[in-house]
Amino acid sequence: MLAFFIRRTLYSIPVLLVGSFLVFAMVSATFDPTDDLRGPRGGNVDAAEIERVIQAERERTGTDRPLVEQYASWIGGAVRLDFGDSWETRDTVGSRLWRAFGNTLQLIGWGILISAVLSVAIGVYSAVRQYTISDYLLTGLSYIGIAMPPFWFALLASQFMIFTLPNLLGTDKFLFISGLHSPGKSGIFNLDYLQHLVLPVATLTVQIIASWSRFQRASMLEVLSSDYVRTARAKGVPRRQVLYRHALRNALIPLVTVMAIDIGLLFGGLIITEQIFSIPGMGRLFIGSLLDGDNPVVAAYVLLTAVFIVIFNLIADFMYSVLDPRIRLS
Amino acid sequence: MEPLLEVRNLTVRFPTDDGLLTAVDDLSFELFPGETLGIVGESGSGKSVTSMAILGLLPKYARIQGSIRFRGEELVGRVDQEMRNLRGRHIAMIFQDALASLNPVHRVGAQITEAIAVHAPELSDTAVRTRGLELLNLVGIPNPVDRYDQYPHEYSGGMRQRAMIAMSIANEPEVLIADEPTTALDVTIQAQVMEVIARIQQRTNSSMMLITHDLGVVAGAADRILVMYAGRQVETGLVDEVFYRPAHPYTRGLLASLPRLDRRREGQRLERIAGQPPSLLHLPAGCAFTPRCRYADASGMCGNRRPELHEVSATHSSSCHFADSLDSRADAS
Repeated sequence: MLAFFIRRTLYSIPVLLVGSFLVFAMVSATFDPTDDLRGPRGGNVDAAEIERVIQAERERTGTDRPLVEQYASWIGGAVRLDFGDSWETRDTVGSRLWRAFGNTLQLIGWGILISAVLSVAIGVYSAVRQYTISDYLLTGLSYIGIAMPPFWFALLASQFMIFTLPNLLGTDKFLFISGLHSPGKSGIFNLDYLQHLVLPVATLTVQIIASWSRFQRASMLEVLSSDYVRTARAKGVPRRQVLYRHALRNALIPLVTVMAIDIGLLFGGLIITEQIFSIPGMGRLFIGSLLDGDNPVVAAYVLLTAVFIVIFNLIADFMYSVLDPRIRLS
Repeated sequence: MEPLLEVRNLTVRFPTDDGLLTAVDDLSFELFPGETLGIVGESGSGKSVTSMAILGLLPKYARIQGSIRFRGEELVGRVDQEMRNLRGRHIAMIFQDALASLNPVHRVGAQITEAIAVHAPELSDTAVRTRGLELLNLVGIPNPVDRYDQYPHEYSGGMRQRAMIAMSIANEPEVLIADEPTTALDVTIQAQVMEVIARIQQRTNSSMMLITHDLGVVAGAADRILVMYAGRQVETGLVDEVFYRPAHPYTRGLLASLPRLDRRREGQRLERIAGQPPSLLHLPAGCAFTPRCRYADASGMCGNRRPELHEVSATHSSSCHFADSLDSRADAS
């Protein structure tokens, strides 16, 4: 089994190499750092002087060298987690990226934890109560959840929690919609943090819960009608034990793989949520850098999201074989 | 002798989008201590639904009428909790297709001993494990100690079926229901598995319902036979009676369709029963076998009047209107 994982890990290296080259080439093609030095500039600037400044800028950013050479030095740094300097802020790309990553990670961490627990609970409950009113209700809600765009949900939820509900109750607002902390506060074990976290995490989780719980319900229903569940019941195993030991254990296998792959996607995909709630995470950094034409940051961001997708696909494979003994030997 | 299990006028219906489906129709039989009752019939004849009804494992929407008594106590209408104490302990089941019937993510040993542990929670883990190893040994699985911790997919087909048997006999139940226990197996393995079942039955002196569509299996293992067609019983009797003096056209058809070495002629095709079994949604008013029956009466008696089960001998009954005159009718046609 170890050999299998070593092999699988080695396979992902060429995938990442090809991917990283495409990322670098395309990002390089999107924006030329000397663009705003050209163009009409009022009468008396010497054309040769402009040319000299452009040349200096190209040397500073390294864009005077051939693309392949640029790529080679970039990827050489990237494997050592050195992504060069930002063109905009003179910080290193790495330091900006890690700060943003820390913030995104908090959203993802809480979001996944809550989504996983609720999805499994809802899925199992719906499957066990198939075709009852509560099942139909949860099914209806999850369709709404899947259909509702996150930004719309975020706006509605903010409006309701920040204005409508406090007004109705005549209280101060008890949730915040900007950032992760109030000015001057920090730490993750306090009420302030929680008040900031609720709405963005809710926005993030609604769609995930809706789709994962549907998946869990389908998988649970399939297992509940399987022959081995019937065998367990025929042995006289109590209902609860049949449900958890025989049905849930098996029904989780497909969900866990779906989860792992979805989580990998999330690391690049919080752009809207972070934008709405002004959370300085990866998605916001990406949009900002894209608008600024800060190529090193954009390239590093895209590469990093690709790495996460590859890693979580590996984790999905790994989890599958841990949970399903039939995969282990073959 | 008091019957151990007594089924009286059992009818099981399932509501479907196309109407009420009658899976078992007014079925009555007894199972006596120590005997093996072979229940024969093709797919859809109600064999498996009957066994699920006895275990109380039919889906909630199933409509059950009639009575199932075990040691004199009524089972129909009992709550799941009461049935649970019975299942696997007094009435156990050997399922067909052991690969699908064993949980792929649990070790075989754990699945076998679970049957013991749920009925005897006071037993220690080591006692349960010892008993599990004993059972594996009893059903003829080599190297029980190694095999105990393996998963079902690491077993061969025959071994999986043995493990299934070990699981069902773990609590030495009074009634064993074997539902097509050898269907998925090679012929040589079939013989071995039937031999294991016979040995176990002798050892524990349990009664068995052997459900199968394979007449060869019943001939070797059963004391009595119950033949079912479209949810109804068409004939019941001692094995010899049913095999040598079949008193129902369906049984005759089944027997005639068996390949036989002693009567083989070059180029001769196997007999077959013409037509298809009836839809369980629209059963004929009379005998369900009428459309396929070569003895059916032109007067409309077969098609319109439902035949009652009547005795051919003290131990042999048939639900054919013309059970007593089949031979003469065969000559006439």
